[in-house]
Amino acid sequence: MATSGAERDESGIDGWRKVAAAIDSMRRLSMPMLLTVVSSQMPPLWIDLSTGRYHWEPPLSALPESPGEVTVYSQPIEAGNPPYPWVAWQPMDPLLWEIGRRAFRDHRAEWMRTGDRYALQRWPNLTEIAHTPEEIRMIATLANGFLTAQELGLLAGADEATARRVLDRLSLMGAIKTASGPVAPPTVVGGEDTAVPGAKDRAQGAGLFARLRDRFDGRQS
Amino acid sequence: MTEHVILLVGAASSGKSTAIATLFGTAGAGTGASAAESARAAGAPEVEVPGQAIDFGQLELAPGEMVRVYAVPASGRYDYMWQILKRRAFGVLALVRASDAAPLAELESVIDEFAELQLRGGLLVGITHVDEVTQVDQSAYQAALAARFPGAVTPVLTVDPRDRGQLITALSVLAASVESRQQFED
Repeated sequence: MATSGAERDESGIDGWRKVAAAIDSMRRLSMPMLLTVVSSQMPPLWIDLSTGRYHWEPPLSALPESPGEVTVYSQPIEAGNPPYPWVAWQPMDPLLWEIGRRAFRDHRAEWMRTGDRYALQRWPNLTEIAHTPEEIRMIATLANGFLTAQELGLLAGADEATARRVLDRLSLMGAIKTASGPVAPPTVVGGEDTAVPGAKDRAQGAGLFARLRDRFDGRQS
Repeated sequence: MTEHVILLVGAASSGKSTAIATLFGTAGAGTGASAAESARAAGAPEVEVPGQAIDFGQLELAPGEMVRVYAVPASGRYDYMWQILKRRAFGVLALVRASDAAPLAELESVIDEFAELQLRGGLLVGITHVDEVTQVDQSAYQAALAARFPGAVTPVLTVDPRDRGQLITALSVLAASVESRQQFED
């Protein structure tokens, strides 16, 4: 997508999905690329995929729910020679997490397939990302093996749609990998569409993780 | 009494003491002899307190259940107290100062020391003082961990020891890692 210039989205509805698809496509090229997102409703956004950084003038909290009409420009850049060194670049994880939240709220990422298994490749930098306890639990679960969205939901005590959205966002960040061939489900789920013993309890606060978080949060007040 | 021991390890000025103070406030933290008393109360045998101070904080999760966080200097790893705490630890939050002369070398020494805990999901690397460098390459830290633990994914987060929310996130990730690993091993 947008490999030789620009892609324009006239609808404005799927703007963030277009941006997400362009990021995924460019990442697969495995060559240094700079993306420039030009929109009718926000200042230009630059994403340097070679160094995993972005620049956007406003604070990330001002990222609009829809970018409106959007055009994504892509251009190869020289390895080891990052563009615009005078600009205050920021780590890309928080931006991609937020783009993913907006892009995949009602639709799957187009490159993700139901039934495929995914495992964590690296932890996203959660200290810089607005997250929920449920998301931490799912990411931790993915560190232990290749799982479908359904299995991830069962193990983490979440519904499948929520697990899908987390997988989509992690994929956009390049934080998960796909199983390259047939992989047996982990014995802990056994491939059955049934609740995993203990998962719901842990999700509802019986586990150390939930109690630790609740207790510390309680002390903040 | 059920206890969950979490160690904060790192070189001098990596942010351990600040993190304890941020998490627990001055009332909950102590150093030196009082830390030794707390460790003995947790079941450690009577031993001479080593010369190095140990900051600590504790939190009651439920009646009869405590979380205890000890900040131990990496240079004290041969001390008897240090070894006791390591054996009892549920997890380790290893702080590495980004502006250290050789942060990856510092990380390597931590990796060797806590390999057994890492296999239980109990190791998290917190990169501190990121505002003192132009850019933090987290992938270099992740690569060092992947080389030592192939197939495992160790959390690497940037952590500001003055930021309570970030510290709670780090401890939450550590607890979730251990719990999810146990889930797969049950």
